[in-house]
Amino acid sequence: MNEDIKATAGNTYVIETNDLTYYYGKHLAVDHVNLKIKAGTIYGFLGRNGAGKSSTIKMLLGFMKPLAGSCSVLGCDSQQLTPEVRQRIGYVTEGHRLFKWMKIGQLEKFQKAFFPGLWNDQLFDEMLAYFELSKKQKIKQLSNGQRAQVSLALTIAPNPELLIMDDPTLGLDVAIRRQFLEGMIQLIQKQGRTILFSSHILSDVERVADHIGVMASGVLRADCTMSAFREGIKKYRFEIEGGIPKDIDLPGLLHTQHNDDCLELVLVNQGASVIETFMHDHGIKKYQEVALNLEDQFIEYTQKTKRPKLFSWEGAL
Amino acid sequence: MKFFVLVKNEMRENMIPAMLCMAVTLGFGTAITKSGINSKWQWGRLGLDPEINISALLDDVMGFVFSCAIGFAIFMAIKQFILPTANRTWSFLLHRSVSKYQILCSKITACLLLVMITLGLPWSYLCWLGLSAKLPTTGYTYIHGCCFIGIAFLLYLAMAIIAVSQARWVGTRLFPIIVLSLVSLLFAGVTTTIVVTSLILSTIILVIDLFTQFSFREFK
Repeated sequence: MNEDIKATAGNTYVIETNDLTYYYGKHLAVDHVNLKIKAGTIYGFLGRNGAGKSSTIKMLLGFMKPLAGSCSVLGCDSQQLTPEVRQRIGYVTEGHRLFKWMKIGQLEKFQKAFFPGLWNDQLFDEMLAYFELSKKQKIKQLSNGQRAQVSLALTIAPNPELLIMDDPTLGLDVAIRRQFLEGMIQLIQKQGRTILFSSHILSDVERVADHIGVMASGVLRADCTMSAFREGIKKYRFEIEGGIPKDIDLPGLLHTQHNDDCLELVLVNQGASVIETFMHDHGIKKYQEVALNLEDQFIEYTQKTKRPKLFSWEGAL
Repeated sequence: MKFFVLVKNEMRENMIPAMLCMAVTLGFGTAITKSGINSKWQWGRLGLDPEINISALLDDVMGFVFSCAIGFAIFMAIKQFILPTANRTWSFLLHRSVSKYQILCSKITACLLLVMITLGLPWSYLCWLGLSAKLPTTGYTYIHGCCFIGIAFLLYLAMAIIAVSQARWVGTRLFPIIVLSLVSLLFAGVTTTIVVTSLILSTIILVIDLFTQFSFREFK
């Protein structure tokens, strides 16, 4: 065991950031992000375009330097990732940028040279067969989806301890996305793997992630288990008889919407007692909980119309 | 081993253009030299001094090789440092189990080897051709031509620095070109020793600058 591997022993966090901050000129892209990901976690990193996901990932891999704060991966400072530590991290680049002039077989040989003793030929061949790709195909002749598949096979073949994927399903059609995710699930089934993947596609995240982080305008606004997020955001519809109450001020209120006889409130992490008190105070008799899927919850949580009171458990779970 | 893989990869990527450049340099260079050899007797008949004219002819060949070298240097700098930024392949390349300095070093080594193969070999052959036909080809002519090829390599380094640099001030970005221009100015009317020394010194300066810029560079 080399020194770098020893350095991670006893460190339960595979990825750790402390007040990670980055500016693009005057624009604050990543705002004091504190992210901690434990070994064995499948972490879905959510956020809209420009939320700061890719910048965070690039700082984690040492491609960008934080302007404040620090980050470490596998116990090693991101700015000083040694070749030995890099060997333990699989990275799927945004847009699957591979060398277009190469054939798949050439790319395999190139990639394999950097993982002596770790490369799994059988796994790579199996993945190519599964995706119906041939080693003789040139990268430049592949579609986006096929490049994504090659990218995934190249990343998974050396059995990395940590897999970081930057929007891996971006631009892929539904069928290819499903294949890609199945490939990923195959990997997940192997014990002890940690995966961090960013995505816009909520159904993908819901399918595979057990933890999620939600970035909005550079801020990590939620960092919790998937179930905590699903249970945390709720929408209620109230039937109003005597006019819409003005200046509603409830703890955890995200949004309000209303018409003449109906009021909808989206609340974060609030129990029934808050609703009951609200109804009692405003003489409301009927209400119902509106079912939200993850996409609805994500949009409610990240849209900019009104800054909500933050999760009481934000950054803690 | 990993470094060798990186160098091989860089060389393989640029092999076809390099071979084309070599073919052009060798083909046209040989044609120019041979036409000079064939017309050697004609100058004598016209009452011109064949030695002087043939010497001028070799300057032409050298000038042609220099043009090819400049073109190849610009091509390599664009291919190795500007296109990866445009194609966004830096992150794939940099996430290797080697240090990023080894990656940079592999690019420079590959370019140097390709320059030697593509331009150094044809120039050596052309000088040998001149010598074997008893043209006034001297060791100085050969070294002079090699220095021209060296200048082209400096241009490659300068362009690489400009591509890698994140400096906003134009002057900072253009520093390598300033060094290059000063070296080129030195080239006129000084001894071969000074030229070779200045080439070596400027190569060292530019390589150090390139490594420094590369260490500060962010790959967004």
